[in-house]
Amino acid sequence: MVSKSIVDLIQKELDGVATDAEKAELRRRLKRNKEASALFAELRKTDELLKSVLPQNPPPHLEDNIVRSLQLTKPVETRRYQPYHWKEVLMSTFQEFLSRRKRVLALGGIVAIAAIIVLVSRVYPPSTTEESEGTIGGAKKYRSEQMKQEDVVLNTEESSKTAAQLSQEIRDQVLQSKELLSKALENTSLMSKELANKQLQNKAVENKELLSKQLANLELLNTSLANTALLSKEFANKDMMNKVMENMEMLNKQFANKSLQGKVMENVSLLNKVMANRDMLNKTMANQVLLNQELENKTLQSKAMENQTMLNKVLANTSLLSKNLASKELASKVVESKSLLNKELQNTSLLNKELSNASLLNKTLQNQALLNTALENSALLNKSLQNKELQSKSLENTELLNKALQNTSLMNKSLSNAALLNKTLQNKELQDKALESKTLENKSLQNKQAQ
Amino acid sequence: MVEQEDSILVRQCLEGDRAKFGKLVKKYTKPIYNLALRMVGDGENAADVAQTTFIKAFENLDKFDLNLKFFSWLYRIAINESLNFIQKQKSTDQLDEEIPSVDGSPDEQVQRRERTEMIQQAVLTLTPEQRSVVVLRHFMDLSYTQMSATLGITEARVKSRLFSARQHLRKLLVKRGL
Repeated sequence: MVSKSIVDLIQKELDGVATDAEKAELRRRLKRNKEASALFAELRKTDELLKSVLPQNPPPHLEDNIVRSLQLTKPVETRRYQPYHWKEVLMSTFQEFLSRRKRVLALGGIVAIAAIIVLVSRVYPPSTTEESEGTIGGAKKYRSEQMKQEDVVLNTEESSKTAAQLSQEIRDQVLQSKELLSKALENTSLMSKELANKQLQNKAVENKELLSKQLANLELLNTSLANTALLSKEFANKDMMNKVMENMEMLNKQFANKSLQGKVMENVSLLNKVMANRDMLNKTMANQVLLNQELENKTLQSKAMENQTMLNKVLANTSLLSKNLASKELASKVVESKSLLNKELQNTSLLNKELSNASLLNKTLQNQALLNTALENSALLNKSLQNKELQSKSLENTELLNKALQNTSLMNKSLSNAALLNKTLQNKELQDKALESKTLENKSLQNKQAQ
Repeated sequence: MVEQEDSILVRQCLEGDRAKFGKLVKKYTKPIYNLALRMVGDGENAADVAQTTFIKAFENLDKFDLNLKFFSWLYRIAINESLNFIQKQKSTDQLDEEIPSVDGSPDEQVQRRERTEMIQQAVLTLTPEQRSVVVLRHFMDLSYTQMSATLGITEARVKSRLFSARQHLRKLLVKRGL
């Protein structure tokens, strides 16, 4: 069971934040707890594996793409971080206000309102010739008696004065109306200005549309840039693909080399087998040769034995004849038989020589065949193996040479055997001659005794 | 020191010098790409996630608290973007990784490539939460505190997730003969 405290210690150790005391504590506890120790080992290995993953470079155009896209985004709000000055705030507010789309219309509205205020203040209330007065304090109430007949007297001066006043008033009103007219004209000019402003506004709207089109064009441009970036990415991917293909080709070549190496090894093993078989064949051939030599020796021995028996028979016949014939005749016959025997022996020696020559010829032919096979093998080796394998070829050739030397030694042995055989034959001849001389001596003694 | 440099660059960017963000992009492109690669397991998608991460960071730079560490904030965005991508994809069995060319014989390279692929596949079998801590710990080399700040969870939770992820990986890698 791994407790939470050990887990905490393991985590700290893995993350490199454990103190020396904590490290010692962890070591001590891990010694006692095998499960925790195994957990720690595996987690450490996992950490090492994660650390083995190297950071990768981002695509080459990523940074440029980000910067380009940032240029199209709205600017960062800056007001919040600017120092607070009321003038600047007012100016900025006013500038912001002016920057609004409807600033022209608003200005027109302000001018119109100001004009109306001025107009109303002048026209209303209607002005009279008498000055208007305010009353302060208590109101003085006027109380008059009921009007009488005599009170009503027509005063022509006053009436005429009143008419003048009226005419004055009319003139004033005419002037006022003129003023109003001029103001109306001013208003019409303001209206025309307003209209002009509206036209400007329309133009501004048109400009805005153009601006939006330009923005759209910019967006298109950005998309085309993004497409070019994508294209460049594709190109980069293609480059990567090409590299991957190159790596694959390298891998294939490596695999091909490996397969070639395997084939070469197979060929080498086959060659080794062939060489072993050839060794076996050579040994069997050598054995066969020895066997043939032994057989030949045996046949020679049997022939010698036959000749010996024939000789014995001849000797027996001659002994029988010698009994009947004269010693001279017998002697002549013996001489003749001896000459015949010599001839036969000569023939046998010639035969032996021919046989030995034939065996030597066979051996030389075999050696030639071996040499040819060795040459073929060396050619095969040259084809299959490279420079390094030339050494092995030379070794093989030396082996072949050794074998050829062995064969020559065998040949020498066989020649020495043949020489020994000849010597034995010569010894036998000498023995025969000695026997013959002894028999002749015996016969001559017998003849002498008989005589 | 590095964090101070980041803060200075962020401040300059917030004051209107947009070019300074380019320096941050240059500095963090590789780590963010690698983080995304280990999270989503695919080179092309990792590049997309990295791009989105930087765009979001730029758009929300005024919301960044200058008292915090920029890389933690950026890694958090990258982790969130990766998790969003994983949720959208819902298939993590695809692995088209571009293995970098490393030194060694062709046989060693092939072996290393196969081993990296097996490890990446094992990482992809983790839950997104476990994968986040493993990627931040092992591939981004973040401490417990930094991981806690990045993921917005307690250090105890970080340790718990990391241990369970390690155990899962251990079993899987042992089973695969690594």
